[in-house]
Amino acid sequence: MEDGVGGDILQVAANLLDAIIAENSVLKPENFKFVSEAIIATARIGNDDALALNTRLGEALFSDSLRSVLLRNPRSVVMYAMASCFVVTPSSRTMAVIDLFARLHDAGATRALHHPAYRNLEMDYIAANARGDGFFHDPFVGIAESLPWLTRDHIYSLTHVHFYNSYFGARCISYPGNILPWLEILIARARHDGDLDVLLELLICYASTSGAQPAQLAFHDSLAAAALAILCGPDGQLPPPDMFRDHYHPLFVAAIYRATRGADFAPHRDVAIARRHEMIGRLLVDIRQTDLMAYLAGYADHVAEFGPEPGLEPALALQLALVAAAAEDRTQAFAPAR
Amino acid sequence: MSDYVERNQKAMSLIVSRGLFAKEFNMQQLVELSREVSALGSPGDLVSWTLISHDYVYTGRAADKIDTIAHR
Repeated sequence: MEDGVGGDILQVAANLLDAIIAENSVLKPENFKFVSEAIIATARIGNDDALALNTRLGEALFSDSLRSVLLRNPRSVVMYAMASCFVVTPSSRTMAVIDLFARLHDAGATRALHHPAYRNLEMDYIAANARGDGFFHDPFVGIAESLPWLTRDHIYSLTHVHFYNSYFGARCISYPGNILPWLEILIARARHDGDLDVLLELLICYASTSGAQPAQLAFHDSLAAAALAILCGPDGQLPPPDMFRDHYHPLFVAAIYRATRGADFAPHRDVAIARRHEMIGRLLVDIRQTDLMAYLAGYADHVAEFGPEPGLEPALALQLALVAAAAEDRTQAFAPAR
Repeated sequence: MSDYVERNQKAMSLIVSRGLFAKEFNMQQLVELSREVSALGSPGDLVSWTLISHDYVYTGRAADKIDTIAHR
């Protein structure tokens, strides 16, 4: 991942923004989502080109249509609120969004039972930002025993709450427990699944957590570079603006990862780490496909080669206790009658 | 020794090494238990389904997929 790639992403994003402005179509859902997330990404990439684009994106999102949208339904302010935190040169309209959001949030109107839990936390994060307060919520509490069975959406909830804690990877966060082994396992899983968007989000999480290991970080840099090569295709070209609309997210995440690593970015593919990742990735496929024997045998191989994996031991203990309970049921069921 | 037998022995050894081996529970029963677990398939994740909503902005693709399964 060369420095120039970030610039290319910004250029394609700027071209897409031009097309959206020409079509006067910022309120189309896919465009609205793109512009909102591009505001966050450009704020985090943070170089001169990114900040100039951030200003243009802010003008497009917080445009004349804003007042009409809010008159239709004041709660629509929720859609604008996250972006309002990342506009580097806020206008009076941006400030109006922040004020209206704070008013609705204080009244309890930004939360909803049908939201995923992390979306409600996102509302708290935006409100804390609006007030200039700090925000911290530990999303990793209680995942030790459920780690192998997390769904993709669970993992997104972890990465996003960490993003709220860390200003999208800009600040290094200390958690009460050691979450790094868990992140490493989830990275191995995303890598094995070829889930580049989740992989890149997790890499940002690891890089912005206290205690991150330099050897792991160098390996992660190599994963990010490989992910970007896949996203750009064999000729290294970014997708044109109309396709970029559907593919920008992992590209932005890659650029944020690159910004998070800064001058420390130094890809190195460590063979032992790669081998361990492959074993863990395979294990997690086995357990999600409910192949109990394959999972246990694969973990036995891992123990033999690398020792016990601290991030998987609690879940393994739980699973073995359930095996023992099932075994007990069976031995009782088949015991001879007295 | 076949891969299958070797794999099962490894799994059994792991259980025994953790001291959770139920009395009178043998490898044959463990294999049967494993087959039973696999035969149930993956019923999906009910916890995830409760997290899905129409304004699920950031992971729309995954939400669509799970929604499709839920309404199948």
